[in-house]
Amino acid sequence: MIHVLLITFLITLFYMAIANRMLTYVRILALQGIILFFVVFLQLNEINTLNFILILLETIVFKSLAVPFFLGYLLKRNKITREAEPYLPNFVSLIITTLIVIVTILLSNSIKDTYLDKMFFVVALSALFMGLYLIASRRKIITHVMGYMVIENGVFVLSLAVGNEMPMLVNLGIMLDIFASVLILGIFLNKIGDVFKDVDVDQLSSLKDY
Amino acid sequence: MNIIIAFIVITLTAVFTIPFLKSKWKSAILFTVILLNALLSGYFAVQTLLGYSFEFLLPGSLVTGMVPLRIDALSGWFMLIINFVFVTGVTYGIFYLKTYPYQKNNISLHAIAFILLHAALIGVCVIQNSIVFLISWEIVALSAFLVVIFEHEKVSIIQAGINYLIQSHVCIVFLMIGFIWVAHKTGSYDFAAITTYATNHNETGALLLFICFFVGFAIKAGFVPFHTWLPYAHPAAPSHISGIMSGVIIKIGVFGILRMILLIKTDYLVLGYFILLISLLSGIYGVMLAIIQHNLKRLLAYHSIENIGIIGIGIGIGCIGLGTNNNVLASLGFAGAMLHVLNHALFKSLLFYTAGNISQYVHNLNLESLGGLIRKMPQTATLFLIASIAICGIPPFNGFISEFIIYIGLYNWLQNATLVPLITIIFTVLGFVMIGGLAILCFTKAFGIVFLGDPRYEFKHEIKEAPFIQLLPLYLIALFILFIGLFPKMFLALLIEPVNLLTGNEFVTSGTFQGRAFDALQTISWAGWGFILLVILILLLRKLIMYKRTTGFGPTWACGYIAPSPRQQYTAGSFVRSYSKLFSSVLLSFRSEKEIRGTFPTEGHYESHPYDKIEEWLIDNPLRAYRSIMGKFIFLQNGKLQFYILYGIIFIVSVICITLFYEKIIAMLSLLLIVIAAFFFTGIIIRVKSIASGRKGPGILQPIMDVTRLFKKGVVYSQTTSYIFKIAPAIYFSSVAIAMLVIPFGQSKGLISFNGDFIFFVYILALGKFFSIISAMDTGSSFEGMGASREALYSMFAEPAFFILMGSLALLTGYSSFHDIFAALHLGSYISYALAILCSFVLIMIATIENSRMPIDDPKTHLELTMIHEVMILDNSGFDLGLILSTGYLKFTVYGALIVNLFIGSVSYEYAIPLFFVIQFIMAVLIGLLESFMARFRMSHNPQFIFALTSVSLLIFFGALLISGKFV
Repeated sequence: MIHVLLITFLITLFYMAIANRMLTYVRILALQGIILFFVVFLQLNEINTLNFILILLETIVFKSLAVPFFLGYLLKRNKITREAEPYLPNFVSLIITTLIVIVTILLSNSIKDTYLDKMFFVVALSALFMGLYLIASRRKIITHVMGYMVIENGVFVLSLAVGNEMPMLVNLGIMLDIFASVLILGIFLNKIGDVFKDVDVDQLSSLKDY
Repeated sequence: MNIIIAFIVITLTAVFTIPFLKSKWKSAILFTVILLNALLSGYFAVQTLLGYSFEFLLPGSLVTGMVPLRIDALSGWFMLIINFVFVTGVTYGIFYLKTYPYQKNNISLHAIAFILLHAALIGVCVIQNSIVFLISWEIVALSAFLVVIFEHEKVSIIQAGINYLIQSHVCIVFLMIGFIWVAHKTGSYDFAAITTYATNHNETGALLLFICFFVGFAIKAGFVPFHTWLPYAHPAAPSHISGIMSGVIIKIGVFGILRMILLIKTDYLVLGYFILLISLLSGIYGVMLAIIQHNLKRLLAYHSIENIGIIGIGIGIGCIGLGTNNNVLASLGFAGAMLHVLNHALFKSLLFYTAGNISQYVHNLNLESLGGLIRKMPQTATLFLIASIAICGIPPFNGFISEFIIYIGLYNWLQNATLVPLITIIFTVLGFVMIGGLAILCFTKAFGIVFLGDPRYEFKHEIKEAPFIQLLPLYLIALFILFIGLFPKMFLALLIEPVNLLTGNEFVTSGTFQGRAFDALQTISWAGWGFILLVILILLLRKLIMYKRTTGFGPTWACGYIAPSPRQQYTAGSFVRSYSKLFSSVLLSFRSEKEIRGTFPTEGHYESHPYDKIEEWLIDNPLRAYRSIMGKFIFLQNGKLQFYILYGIIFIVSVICITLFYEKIIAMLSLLLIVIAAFFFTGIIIRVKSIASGRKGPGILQPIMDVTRLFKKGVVYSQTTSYIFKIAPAIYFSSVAIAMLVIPFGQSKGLISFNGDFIFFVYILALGKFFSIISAMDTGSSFEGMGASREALYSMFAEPAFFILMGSLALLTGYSSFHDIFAALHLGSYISYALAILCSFVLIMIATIENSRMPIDDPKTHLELTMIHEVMILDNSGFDLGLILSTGYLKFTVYGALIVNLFIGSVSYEYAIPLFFVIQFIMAVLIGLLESFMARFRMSHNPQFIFALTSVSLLIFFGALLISGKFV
């Protein structure tokens, strides 16, 4: 069951590679949050109430409700166009995503660690690279936030892969990261939306210092 | 303990409350806080000078461990100086900053940074935990940066500030290296660990550690050649800050050096000579550059370097005294140095404050446009005069005392010195005297030009004297200057404890400094008093005599050239003209002049900008080189976030890949090295040849540029040729490229490695040669056919040599692949060295034959009949020619790599890689020299010569037989 969920997670990554609309990205992120919740739920056998509440908070409330809602609000408020505006055609993106997954599978094969669940590792690593790829290949600033979110989901899965016990510290770290990225970029966007009419990363290059 | 907590609490409260206060209160709070902190820390300082010492242990944190605060006499002495300069500085500064009432936030920041600077400096004196020390040191650097850039809206000031910031961080890097070194070896951050390290390790280790710390502290102190930040930062800062910087901040570097002398017990003699040398250099260079400056504050800044030199001379002498167990010398040196620290702090801050008055009320510090200020600002002028005399080391002021002590030390050393110390003493005295003389030249210039004569420039605004309350701290300093000059013994009594601490025994005893050396001071004190009384007496006498007579006033007579225009006065530039002409080789000055010509005077001008030669060598030139290299990569910083993320992805992927495919990458290493070497190899040969024939020659990369240009060009084919001609260059290139894969590198195999791979190596090269020969035949030209035939013949002769060579190596080692042979080859005995040299000879010769160079072939020949290789490729052009040429370059380095393999054996990579390039370089130079000093053989001699190689390899073979014991 867990594996099915993880593969679904992987498929959402593929979908992300070819999605055209900003809203789709937001929905995919919400879906990923839900998937992650179930993965954690099934993966962690012994769970105390406090931890459970925390995980519920992080996955369902935060990842699949609050952040997507916030992103949607940002999209509306700043009147960001619905197109994702990738630099590369979707087809190429799909190929690259496939390559990422293949490479991570190859990589995980070379790792000989008995404690590591390979399935988790592959999904986590591909989510990580996928997030980076999303950031690198999309034109809008808001897609950066989404890329970070995907990376964070990857790190989340990785923390599941390493230990059966949910490491509290990693958990809190992820929370903090999410807050930081959403808040910073939220403020950033709110502010920058007033100055630059297009919320486009290209405009940022005028900030470079030489 | 309570006092320390109070100190910290006061500092922090002040820092957090100042921004919310009204500007009137700000200055009051600033003054109070500095005064309170000074009193609190001064309490300890005075106690230590009376012979007590304190140690507190602060709990610290997990990272730092316990934080010991140790207050000994050395820190006490410096704390007192810091406190004095800060209290006078803040009093002066409050009035100085009244010129900027509108900059509210700026003043808040300035005040906060000022308080932090003071607190952190005190901290540096007492903290003895390296991490916390570094934090404190960093606070000093940052807050000093903030106070320096007070007028940050000016570009030049922010530039000077950044310059200071960077250099102070270079200083921190050195300190960090030193502390990490110690912490790594001993596992402790306590300063006591430095002593443990120095005593437990050998001399060189301790000495190196000291040098590391010394460089770090010397950057702060401004020793030449680490002084370059100083002449920028001092003029840029507001004047009270310049005074504090020069008086205290650079002294903290001296404090660091003294502290390290105390902690690192090593070969003090070497240390002493080292410090003495650098200090003499600093002293002389500082004053030499000071003289030619046009900006008053810059001039003073260079003088700080000079005075640091004087302090350093004292420290150096003290160290030598420690090293030779000469207690008198040691105590004299250290006493002189530490007294001069105080003295310099006094007169230099006074000089900067008076310069501040000038800049505040005249708004100009350029010497050439000042003049006659003594009439407008008489008090400032007098104060400047006192400080000038003091800085020149002339009695009855304090500068004389400290320099006198150092002199006494030098002459004391003279008593029982051997040759080397004698020479050192003579040169030190010489340098010292020169410093004094030049300082007089410098300050007569500064005082004379700024304050005397007529104003050289009409200022629009009124110039007035500063209010008395602003001058009050200045008078206080002047009083101290005179006081030390007249009562030197009192201050020396304060120095007893610090000096005893440094000399490490109770040599200097109670009351005053005892012994012959110090007796003079009493007399000096009397003489000073006598001098002052005499002057007053004569003045009174004059007044008495002149009482009834009339005094007249008129213009300057000057032999009848009465009342010229103020513009015709002696200027600062002309005053030091003869000097700067004399030392023009050492000094660097940019001039622009237009002389007046013709009968009727036309427009003319003269302008000179002094510049620092050491700065040009040490900072500017390396920076320019760095920038030109780094400028090539500026396209990477394109400001696009996506690209930055992409770099991140590339980094992560490469990190993963390198660890995963480490073996393969190492196997690629030889390939990579060969290609890199090929880039330079032919260029070096050409360069060597050019230099040998007396030309400069083209750049090292010229051959590669030629090839890239060829790659961009089109191709012309002869109509006679067939497809053979078209594919031959590609095959030729590929054959060498594949042959390259076989070459191992040290322990790592080549990408392809199997038994008998050297046979494969030769035959794959032969394949390339085969095609190059038949492609030459393909053109149907008589010339090219001739070349082809020769090439075929020669390689026929050359190949046996290579085979026999490899065969004998195989015999020696019992293996039959490149990697195994080279890995098993041990150069143990003399015979094997001889064999290796013979082998490399054969290999080099084969390489030259394969590449058709001297003495077999001449690549530069212009007569087709005498060519071999060149004539074969006459018809190739464009891309094909490029391929053939680059194949030639590669071939050289391939053989070079074989020779390298002969020598490196199983050396680890960090040595093998440089060795690779060194051997390739030597080979290139060798071939270059060979080609420049040798004529080509006659064509008929070539076969003979090549066959001789085979004989040599046979010789090697027999040698191998001998070594392996198979030859009975």
